[in-house]
Amino acid sequence: MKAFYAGPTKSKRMTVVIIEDEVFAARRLENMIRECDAEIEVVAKLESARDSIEWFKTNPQPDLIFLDIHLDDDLSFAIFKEVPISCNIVFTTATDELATRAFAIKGIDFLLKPIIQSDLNRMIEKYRNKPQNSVTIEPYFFDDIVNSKY
Amino acid sequence: MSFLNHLNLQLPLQKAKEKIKSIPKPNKCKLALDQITDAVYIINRKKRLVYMNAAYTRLSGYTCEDLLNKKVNPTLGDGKISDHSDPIEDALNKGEPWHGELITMHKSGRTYWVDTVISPYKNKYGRVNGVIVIQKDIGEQKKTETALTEYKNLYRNLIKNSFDGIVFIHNLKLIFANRAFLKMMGFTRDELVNKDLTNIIANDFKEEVISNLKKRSDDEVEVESFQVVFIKKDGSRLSTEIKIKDVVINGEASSLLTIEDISEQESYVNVIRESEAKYKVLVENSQDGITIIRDNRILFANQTYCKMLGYTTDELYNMPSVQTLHPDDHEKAYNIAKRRHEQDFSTINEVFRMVTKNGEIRECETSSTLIEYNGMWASFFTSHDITESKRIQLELQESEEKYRLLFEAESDAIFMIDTENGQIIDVNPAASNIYGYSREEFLAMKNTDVSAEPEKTTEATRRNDTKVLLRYHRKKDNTIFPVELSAGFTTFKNRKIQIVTSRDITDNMKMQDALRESEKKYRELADFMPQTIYELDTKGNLLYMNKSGMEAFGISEADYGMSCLNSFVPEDRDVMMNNLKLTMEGKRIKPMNEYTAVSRSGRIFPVLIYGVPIVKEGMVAGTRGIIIDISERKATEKALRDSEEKYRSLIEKATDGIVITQDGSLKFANQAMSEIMQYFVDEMIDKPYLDFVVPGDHQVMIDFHKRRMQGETFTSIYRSHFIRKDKKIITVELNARTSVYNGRPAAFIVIRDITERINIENELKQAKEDLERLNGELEDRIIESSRKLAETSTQLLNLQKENLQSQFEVLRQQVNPHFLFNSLNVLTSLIKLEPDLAEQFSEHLSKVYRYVLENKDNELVDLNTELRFLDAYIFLLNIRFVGKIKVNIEIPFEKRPLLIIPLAMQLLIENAIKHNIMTKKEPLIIDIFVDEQNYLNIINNLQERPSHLYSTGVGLKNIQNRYKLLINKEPIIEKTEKQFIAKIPLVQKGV
Repeated sequence: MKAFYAGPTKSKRMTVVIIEDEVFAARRLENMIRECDAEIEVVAKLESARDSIEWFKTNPQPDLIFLDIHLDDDLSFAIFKEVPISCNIVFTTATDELATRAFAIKGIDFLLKPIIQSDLNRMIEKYRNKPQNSVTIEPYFFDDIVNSKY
Repeated sequence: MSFLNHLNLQLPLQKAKEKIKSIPKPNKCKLALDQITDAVYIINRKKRLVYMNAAYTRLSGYTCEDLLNKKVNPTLGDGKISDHSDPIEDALNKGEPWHGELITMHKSGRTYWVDTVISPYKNKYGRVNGVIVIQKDIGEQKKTETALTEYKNLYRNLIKNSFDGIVFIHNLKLIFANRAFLKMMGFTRDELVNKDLTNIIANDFKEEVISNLKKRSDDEVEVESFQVVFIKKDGSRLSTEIKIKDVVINGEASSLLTIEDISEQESYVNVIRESEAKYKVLVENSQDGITIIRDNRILFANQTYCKMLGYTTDELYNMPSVQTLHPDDHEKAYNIAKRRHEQDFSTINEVFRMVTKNGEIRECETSSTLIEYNGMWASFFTSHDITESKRIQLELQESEEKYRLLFEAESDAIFMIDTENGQIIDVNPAASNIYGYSREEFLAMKNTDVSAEPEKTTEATRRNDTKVLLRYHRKKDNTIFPVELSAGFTTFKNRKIQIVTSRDITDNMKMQDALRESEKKYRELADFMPQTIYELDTKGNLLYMNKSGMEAFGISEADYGMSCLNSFVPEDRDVMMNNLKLTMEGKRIKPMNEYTAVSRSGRIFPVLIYGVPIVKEGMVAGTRGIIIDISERKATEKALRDSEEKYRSLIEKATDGIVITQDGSLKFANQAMSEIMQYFVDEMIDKPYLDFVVPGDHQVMIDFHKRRMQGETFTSIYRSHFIRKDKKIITVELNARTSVYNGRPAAFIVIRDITERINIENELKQAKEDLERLNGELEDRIIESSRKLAETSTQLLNLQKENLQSQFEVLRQQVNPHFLFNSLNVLTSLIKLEPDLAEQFSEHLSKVYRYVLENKDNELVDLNTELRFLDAYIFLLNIRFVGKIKVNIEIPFEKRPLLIIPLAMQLLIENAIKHNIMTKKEPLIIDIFVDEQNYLNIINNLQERPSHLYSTGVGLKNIQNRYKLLINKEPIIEKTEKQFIAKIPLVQKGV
């Protein structure tokens, strides 16, 4: 069955964290991830920056974070200021310029909402075997994006 | 037999004369008298008995020693003869003879009747010297016939002896006449002697006499006797019979004539004839058959005898007597005849089988004797038909025999007891065997003697008890043993008796004890049983219930006998009674029924009852069974059923198709599946699962299935394509799990038809594209407008400019791509998760957009319209921010017609969302109401976000400017520590 899905190097199930303030959007994303690969484990769905910070303080880093920028209580960038994040990140956004800017400036991938399955599949495949960042994202890594004007 | 026959008539006349003279003299004729069968005795003048013959001893029982020379009067009895108190006395005194019947006393004291003749005799002087008494017993009827004949002869002899005239004649000249003759004739001797005999003979007889006498003298004919009528002195006629003998008197041939006065004799004959007639009547009317037989021939037979044998008198007459006898009895008859021939006078009793005329055999008891009949010996028979009595006797004998056999063969002891005194009258052999007493010992005992409980025995006898189930009796060896008694009462030989059958039940008792022991054992066992065990009689009344049962039903043994129905709810009772009946009839071999029981304490509990009929001595005596309390089981069942019901309804009512596959086939499909596939459920069952899957998806399906079957558990929601019954291919979303069904591994698959959803998705994609295109167009238009604005003279009114700008802002606002894409994102999420909600969401979204498009050019819109739009907008917000935002709108109806700049409220809400933290714990609360100054207040709690992003501030400023231009009134914006307050002026219509 390993042959069915993964490349030869895959040794453990891919873990994913979804940070999304809209409940339905989070659930949909989870389903879409499973649809892509039922083996992928969604280890957490977090709604706010605050919850996310708490979670990352106590849990190991996942393989990949799907990260909504605009959260209930703050921009998701706030998380990075509080806890070190070393895993791969994919922003999810409706039309947020911040995401596009992050991509443009920082090279962080993003998915546009509503997310399309094939885009998601592609993104997952891209990060499936990509090793984690060797260094954590700096706390103020995104500050310039926030503060910049277009 | 005649008296004279005993004399030698051949004696010389002299001698004869002597003899005749000596007749009255007892001593002289004693010899002769001793020979005769009649009783004779002589009494002298002094009344002393001077002679008695042997016959008299036989008759009276007295001997010579008793009476001879004694002054007795043995003829006297008890004085029954009224006229002749003493006929002997009379005869002595008067000298006249007497004849009659006397009752006489035997020496033994008994009395008997005698026919008596008393003849006085006189001396030569004419003086009565004494009397001769001749007696014959007439007491015995059996001797009647003999007696009759004998009397006849006797009288004749006596008269001859005493009264015959005796005359000697010579040549018809009377030379002697005795006194009797003189008396007879009334002449004196002198008047007759030497006279011609013919003188005193009646004329009509003279010739005959002369002739006869002549004949004798001529020796022609020996005429011995003839009848002659004499003429007496008084001239009357005297009939006589003359017997004539030749004698020689004084040397001369003379004749001795004895002359019998037959006139008297004739009268005697008449008497006898009467007597004969009398006896004839007696004989003929006798109940017994009477026959007289001589020389084996029947001389006489009475009517009874004739009737008995079916012959007439004539037929029987002269018939050989043996002809009426059974051949086997002939010899007996000859023997009797032989004895009779030998002059055996004894009475012979014998039973003969007689043969009737028509051949029937009748058994007769006969008694015979020898009699003289018509002067000759004959046998006199009396016969009594005993056939009938014999038959009855035989039957009686048989019956008696039969009962005796029964009595003796019976193995139970039988006692016949006199109820009066309890005396044992009879016992059967079994009684001796059982009790050890011999029959003789028993017969000396009373019923109480065999009883070990005599008082009870006496009491039972007194009460006429017919059945005693248990009584202790005592054997001869003092062993006491139990018996069962049964008594009957009857009368036997005028005694009231009790027939008691006694059965030794020692063995029974032992068995009963064993049985009781066994029963006790089972009872105890039954009491330990946790279930209820019961016994009911045929009416359903309780006979027994074990301890557990009594506890369960709250009853005690005191309730035995009550109806079992009391322990069940009323509505069950009819069914129960009916089932009880069926059980007893054996129609339900293993009846099982559920009832609702009620205990005394009111506890209601369901039970199962298993019952069987109780059979005693071949009869159904009730039912017995087990009652099982199934309340716990019921509760479990109910829980299970409820649970099952719950899951079933879940499955049945699920909108998703649910199927179970096993070995590649469908084992179960719910209604939703049927609707999805448009097959009936039955059509799908047992069909290969893959038949419903488009061929292209088979491999994936099989692989998944394999993985699952190898024990791998993974959740997989994936899409596939199914072929409906109508061959249409539908897209489905599958969610499969492995589980166990009917004990074997199976796959549970939830199937959702998402064909429609995909269609919607596609439509939405289309809409998105359209909107994007529209957006592009709008941007084009904006650019165009801007270009136009730029081209427009700066002299254009500020208002116009503002307006244009406002319009532009509004447009921008209206088509804010954030809002649109956020909305689309929500929608996309909902489609799969909440299709219904997705539908509503798209409806509301379209409302919002339609409103925006319709009102973008209006300066003012009434609150009512704006609020309708706002409702739709808030709906979208609520979906998007579940539980994180709360918008309270309280606008009274009368304020609704007030006008407002379109989308102003929406803009303010949008701002509030943009600038504030909103979480479930700290939701954003927006209150909207109209104040007294007709300002629409839009107030939200202030929980500002740390970072402010792309806040253009254009929106708020735009509204403020528009109001300023439109009504010269600006909205009031306040920001306190906790609240952000926006007050928008409302405009009256027509102002």
